[in-house]
Amino acid sequence: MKSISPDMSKLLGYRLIAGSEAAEARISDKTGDVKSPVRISDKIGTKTGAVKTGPMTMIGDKTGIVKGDKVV
Amino acid sequence: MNLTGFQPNAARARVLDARMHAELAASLGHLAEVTASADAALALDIEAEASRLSAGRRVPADVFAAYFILTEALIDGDEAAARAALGRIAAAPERPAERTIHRAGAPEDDGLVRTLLARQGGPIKSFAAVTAEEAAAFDTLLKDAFALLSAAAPVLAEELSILLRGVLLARPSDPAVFNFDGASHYQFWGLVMLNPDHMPSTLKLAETLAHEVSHMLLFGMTVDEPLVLNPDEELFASPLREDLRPMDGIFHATYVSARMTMAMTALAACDALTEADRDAARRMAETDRRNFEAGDAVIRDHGRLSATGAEVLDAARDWMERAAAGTALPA
Repeated sequence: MKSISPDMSKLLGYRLIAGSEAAEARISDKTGDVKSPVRISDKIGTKTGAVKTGPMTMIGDKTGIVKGDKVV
Repeated sequence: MNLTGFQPNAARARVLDARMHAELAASLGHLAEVTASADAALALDIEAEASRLSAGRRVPADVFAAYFILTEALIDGDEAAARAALGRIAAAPERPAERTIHRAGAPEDDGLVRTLLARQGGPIKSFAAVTAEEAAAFDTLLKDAFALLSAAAPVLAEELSILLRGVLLARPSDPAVFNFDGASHYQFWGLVMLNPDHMPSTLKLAETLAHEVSHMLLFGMTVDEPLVLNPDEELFASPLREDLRPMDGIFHATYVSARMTMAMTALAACDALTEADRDAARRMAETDRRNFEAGDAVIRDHGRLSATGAEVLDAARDWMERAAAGTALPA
């Protein structure tokens, strides 16, 4: 099928970056970068000091790297 | 109704849930409009799902994820992937009235787990299984945690209970490489993932619920614009993680730290707890407050907040000041 070009500002989740200057280029690029909206607001529960999360979240974001029992 | 207020509000939680479903319906409606010229039959099927949602259908978290997958497939012109995603939206059962416990390793939850792993975009390739017995034990712990919160902070407990529609229990396959307490994901509205290995007590789980579901509260508030305008490439020190985080992550960490402070402060004052548990809750509240202050300092120095972000954070700051002065409203 032919690909579509929705108005991203009308789409749940995507309009969060529609207004961002840095994001405009990502939205307009349908190849690969169209997946960048998944970066938005993916959150991980974090805990002080100890274990934390990693990237259930933003593509390209840094992971929680564990050394021994602790995430550093 | 004030949707960005810090004070817990059960009616607000219901409104946010309804709004997310309404937004999902509207988004599918737009996708149907734009798809019509490319594939009329597909467009009609998408519109049918939009109509079901507009008529009041309530869906489980992975339907929201399927919408994001559908959107990407349509933009890519991948009909097979679009049909598959739409099929998952159509076939999903009505969201149960009771909260659902899912677990990694359960055959019936395999689809949810695979979707979550795929959407997280990170290095986690798999989860280690949680047994049915462990899930049953956790369900009891979860009920106990909500009972504790209800005794100490009844409105907060009700708000969290309305927002939390599903829990996925999962543990890392290789905790030496990557570990977590819990997680939430914008694309899985209503779902929180929890690692049962890191919930040693009812008190700890109560704090984690305040934490994770407050992320979801922020998701619900964040429909029209982001919380912060800082580009994701700008990284800053986070109060809750060792690695540098984008400002959006720091905003979330700061806000949930305030909500955790609220929960633990209420528990510290609750007669239903033992003295030892009240002391523990007090210490946890102090730590949560320090984390809030550390994160807020970063935001004050570097944050570019949207109007929504400013409203949300100002409300949190106000509560934290009142709590320090002993004049905060009960939760």
